[in-house]
Amino acid sequence: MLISMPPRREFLEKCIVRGLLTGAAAMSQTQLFAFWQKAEEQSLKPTSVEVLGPFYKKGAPNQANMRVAGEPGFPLRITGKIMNTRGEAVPGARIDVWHADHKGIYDVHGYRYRSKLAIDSGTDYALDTNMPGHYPDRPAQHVHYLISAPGCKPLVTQLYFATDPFFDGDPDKNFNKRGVVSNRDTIRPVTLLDENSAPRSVVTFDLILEKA
Amino acid sequence: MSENRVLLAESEVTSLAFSKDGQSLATFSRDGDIRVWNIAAGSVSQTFKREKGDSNPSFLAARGQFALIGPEGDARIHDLEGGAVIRSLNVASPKISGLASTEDGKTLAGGGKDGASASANLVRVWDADGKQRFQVPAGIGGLSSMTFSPDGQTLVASAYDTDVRVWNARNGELVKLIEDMTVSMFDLAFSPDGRYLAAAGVDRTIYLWDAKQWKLLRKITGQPEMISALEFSPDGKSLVTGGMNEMAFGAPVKVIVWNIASGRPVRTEEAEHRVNTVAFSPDGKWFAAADGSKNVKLWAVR
Repeated sequence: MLISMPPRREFLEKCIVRGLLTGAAAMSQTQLFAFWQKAEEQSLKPTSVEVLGPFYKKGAPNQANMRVAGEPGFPLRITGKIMNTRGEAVPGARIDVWHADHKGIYDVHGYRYRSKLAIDSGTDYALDTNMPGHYPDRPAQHVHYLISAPGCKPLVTQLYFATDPFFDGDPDKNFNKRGVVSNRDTIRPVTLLDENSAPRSVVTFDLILEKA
Repeated sequence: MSENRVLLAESEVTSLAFSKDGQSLATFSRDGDIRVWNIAAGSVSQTFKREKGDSNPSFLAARGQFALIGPEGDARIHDLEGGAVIRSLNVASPKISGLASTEDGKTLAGGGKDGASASANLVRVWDADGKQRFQVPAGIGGLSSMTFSPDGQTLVASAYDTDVRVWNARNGELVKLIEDMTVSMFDLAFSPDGRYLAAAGVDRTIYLWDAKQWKLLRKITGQPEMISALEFSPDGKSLVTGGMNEMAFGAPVKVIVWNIASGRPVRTEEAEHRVNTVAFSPDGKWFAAADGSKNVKLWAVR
């Protein structure tokens, strides 16, 4: 097997950044490579990138609950972690989230189903909303994300739902159907709960950011 | 006086460009072919097939030229008359998705993803000899439009993060970050004299800036749908816009010619489906729109 080895400087930087080395002592390339491999194994995989799409809107309110009483749609709770590839909190992160309503229509005039969450401490985020619908030119249900955090690369991604009929019950096989979704890992399982006769769906979606 | 015409394409046309003399029109269709139409005859006079793996073609501001980017990042500038390669350059790493040129064709710009951060955009600019002049960060989430000013001194690009960036095309200095909009602009155009920059998109509004001071001069409203494409007339007095219904992309939309001075529509026409691209002929006799149906409509300017 051919292993493409990064340059020595890159080994050192990665090992130091990940706390495996406190200084660039005189080490052989082999020792460094072992450290580097260990560092790679301990890293979290950054969340895959999906397209931003045309309907992002600046200035969304910071609201963890995007549901409005009386609004049709199946309740959806999204929870997850936001952190860097070392599993550390990213204070100062801003998560812009937006999606279509249950009929697949985006609110481009106002801020319905749009939120900009501020994560100033901890690694958890949560949102209450309604399950987005389908629309003709973008047939899989999805939630858009645009994330920025000091010291991290920006992340544009989307959350998809494994229960979506678009994937024909087999997202492993059909995730790239019609080229709509680029990455299998952005399609998340959906749990249905019925608490106090109030059914809702729950999805977890972690946001792992790369160092800038 | 010329009569309105409809060119019946074999496949949906996503971009088009008039020839220098306004007698012919080049189109690019979803079937992958580039066709040159004789407007008077309403028929195809030439068809170019792309090589496997080539990008969608970019019709350049250097009229009569189009660019294709091969899978290895080899860009070729073709002459629409005959299809010969005028010149080629290597634009690989990081990949770009399309090219824009100055009117003299001597400077080229390409937009794509930043190689180090897939969510971020990068704009690169090359000299005529293929030497990269500079590269600059250009927002997040992809670029919707990019164009040079008529004198080639300024480069502007709109990103799906809703901002428009203005650079000095000589050295890449960011002259202005335009943050007036809260939604994405889908298309950008300079007036032929370079005095104005227009942009329009999701909020159905035409934004018009003074392209020297970079001040917002006015906002023109009245298009009943999102605006997917716009272009100035050759005399700079009017603008044509094409619509895109945000509820149903297949719904009929308006193609409107606006008087810049009054901000009022002077001509309203209809397209059957969302508009992909609009253009005026260089002689000012026609304006054209290609929409999501297979039709290219040409309206005679009255």
